[in-house]
Amino acid sequence: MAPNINPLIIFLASIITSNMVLSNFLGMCSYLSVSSEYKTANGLGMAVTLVLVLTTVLNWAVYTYVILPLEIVYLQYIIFIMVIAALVQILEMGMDRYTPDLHAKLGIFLPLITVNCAILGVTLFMVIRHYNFIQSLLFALGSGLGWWLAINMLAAIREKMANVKLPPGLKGPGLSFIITGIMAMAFIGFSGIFTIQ
Amino acid sequence: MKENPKDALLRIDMEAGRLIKEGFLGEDERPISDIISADLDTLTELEVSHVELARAMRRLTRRGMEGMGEVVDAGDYLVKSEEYMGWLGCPFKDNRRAAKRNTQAVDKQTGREMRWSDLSIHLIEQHAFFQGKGSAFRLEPAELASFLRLPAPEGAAE
Amino acid sequence: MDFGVIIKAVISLALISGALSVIISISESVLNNYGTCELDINNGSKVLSVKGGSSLLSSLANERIFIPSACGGKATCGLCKVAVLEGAGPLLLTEEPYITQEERAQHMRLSCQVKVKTNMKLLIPDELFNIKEYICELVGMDDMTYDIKRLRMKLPLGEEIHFKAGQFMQFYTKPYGKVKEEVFRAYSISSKASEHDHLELLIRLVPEGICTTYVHTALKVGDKVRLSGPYGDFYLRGEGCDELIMIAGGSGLAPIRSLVYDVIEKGLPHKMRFFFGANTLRDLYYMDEFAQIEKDYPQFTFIPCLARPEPEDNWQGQTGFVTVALEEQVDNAEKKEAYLCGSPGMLNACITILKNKGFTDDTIFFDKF
Repeated sequence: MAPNINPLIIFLASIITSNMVLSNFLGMCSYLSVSSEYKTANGLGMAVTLVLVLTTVLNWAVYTYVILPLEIVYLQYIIFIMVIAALVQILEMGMDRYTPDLHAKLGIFLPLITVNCAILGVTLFMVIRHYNFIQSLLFALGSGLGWWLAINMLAAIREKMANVKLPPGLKGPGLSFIITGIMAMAFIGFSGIFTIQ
Repeated sequence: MKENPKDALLRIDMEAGRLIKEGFLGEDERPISDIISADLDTLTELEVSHVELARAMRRLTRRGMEGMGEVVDAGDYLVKSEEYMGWLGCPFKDNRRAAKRNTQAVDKQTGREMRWSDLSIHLIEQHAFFQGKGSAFRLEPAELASFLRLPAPEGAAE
Repeated sequence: MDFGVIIKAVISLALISGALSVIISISESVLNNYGTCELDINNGSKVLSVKGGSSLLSSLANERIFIPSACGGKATCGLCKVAVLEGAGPLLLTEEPYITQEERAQHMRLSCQVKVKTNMKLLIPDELFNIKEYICELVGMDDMTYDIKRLRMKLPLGEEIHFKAGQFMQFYTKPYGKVKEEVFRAYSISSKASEHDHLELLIRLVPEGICTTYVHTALKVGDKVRLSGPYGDFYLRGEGCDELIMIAGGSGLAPIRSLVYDVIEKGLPHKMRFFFGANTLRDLYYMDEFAQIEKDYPQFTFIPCLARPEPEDNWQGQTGFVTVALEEQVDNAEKKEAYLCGSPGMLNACITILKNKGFTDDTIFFDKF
């Protein structure tokens, strides 16, 4: 049974209080490695949001109409990953054909997204929490926007800090983790307004 | 950590046999942004910037060019620049071309020798890229700085 | 463990992955199949039907139209610019640094980055249609100096090349050693423009050079070599001028040799002075040949300059850099044109001197590659 939560609450909570990066620590890899430049980070954020929404919708359908009826829940991880990989591949070809300007911007990020754990994470949360279709859709959209917001913020801060003199140990990932931690605390400050799980 | 997709594309063009015969990376398997930031850290410790290094290198190369392939006495150094026809494009795809010119400089006092190409100067100046470890044209930032006597001691006249 | 569960897992996995791969291949055949696209060149003067999906540069090359390029599609040289009036889509990130605002207004694009996806309208300068590809046989390879080789190649039977003396060819290597793909570099033609069935190139070994190392170590007489050309706007102008000042260093002698023969064979009245700069005696070559031309044709003067002759060389000629000889021997720019070929530093030094003497950008010619 789908939990009785207003989908809008899920949407807002997944952007802020249940942010994929900042409270679930998913998708950290690309979050750290592609956040040194605002422009690139923005492109990746956009691509992740797009792929996240599409894969979640597709995986919801696969879960409801294939995995559950066939009683092969123990195979769900493999199936979800295959669906994600296939979708990303088709998406890249489609973008190249119909939206070349978008492909020029996002094309190089798509292969990286296939292995982004936030994508699989959202699908698995959706399954564990028994969301219905609308809830899943808004959850995915919210998570995508949340991830996008987080990487943009980190990239903007990192760009500002590029010329700051730092102790050697803090350089690169070290400082990024500290910034992320502070950002996470700030985001959790919103938990009084709306929370899920 | 995953390689930034831009770095991944860059890596392909930096491999041996793509733009130059031996490539830019040598045996270095680190992401290109890591190579750059590690070298920048070294420079920060030394309190000298990659731009200053590149400018000092260019000054020596310019002196060397006056000799048109002959050894030139450039104060503290003996320099020789050899040129070949043609040019090389920058792997960072910034529409900059470097002449095929190799400069060899020998420190008169210590007898130490270093060599670089015009492309090396551009890569250091614009991209802070000193090339991968094991690359034929890899310049260790610390060695380069001490070779070029940078940073200049306090109070030294320019 | 229930045997049925295993069977079920295997079958359902196989079916699902099979279904996904069918979906992928169907969408690939739909999405990646651009069908046949029409390339309209110069407002309908030529219409080509090509299979869509690959880069404009390679699609045109398949149709025997060669756009000059130095990097071979890696977007590092910015030479393969073509005006695409329609059908190119938005400017790509890789193109941005190479296309100026002015060129954007003219719809210039890097043909190696633009993919053919729909019908396109292009503008291609007429002279590029003369560029062809030749699979030649290497019939001679001689050491001219310790680091310069002369390559003599025979064109395939029945094929001819027509070029203007001074132009260059692109020479393609085969993969060798660490070089996993074909690369190419430009070399000026040193043979006579009147010879249509053979080509000669002079190739100087560049340390770590990707193409010259191939020529100097891997190439053998009898090998097939691929060339395309002729390219370039370095050729004889000569109108309204009496004297040609020619300056070369190293393998830059190649186009000058071709130019000298061109003037002589066409019976043109121009006086020629050829300053050839080298460091030591072992860098000089073609000495006897030029001495002979000097003897046979009084209009031609050959001035080899040695920067650093060794005592044992017994050098009687001009000493010092070629710039010194220029400074001394060229008085003014009156009715003169200058043709230069050599390394960039030498070119710059000579151009400065020539400009001081009154030469202008319209009377100084050199190759920019």
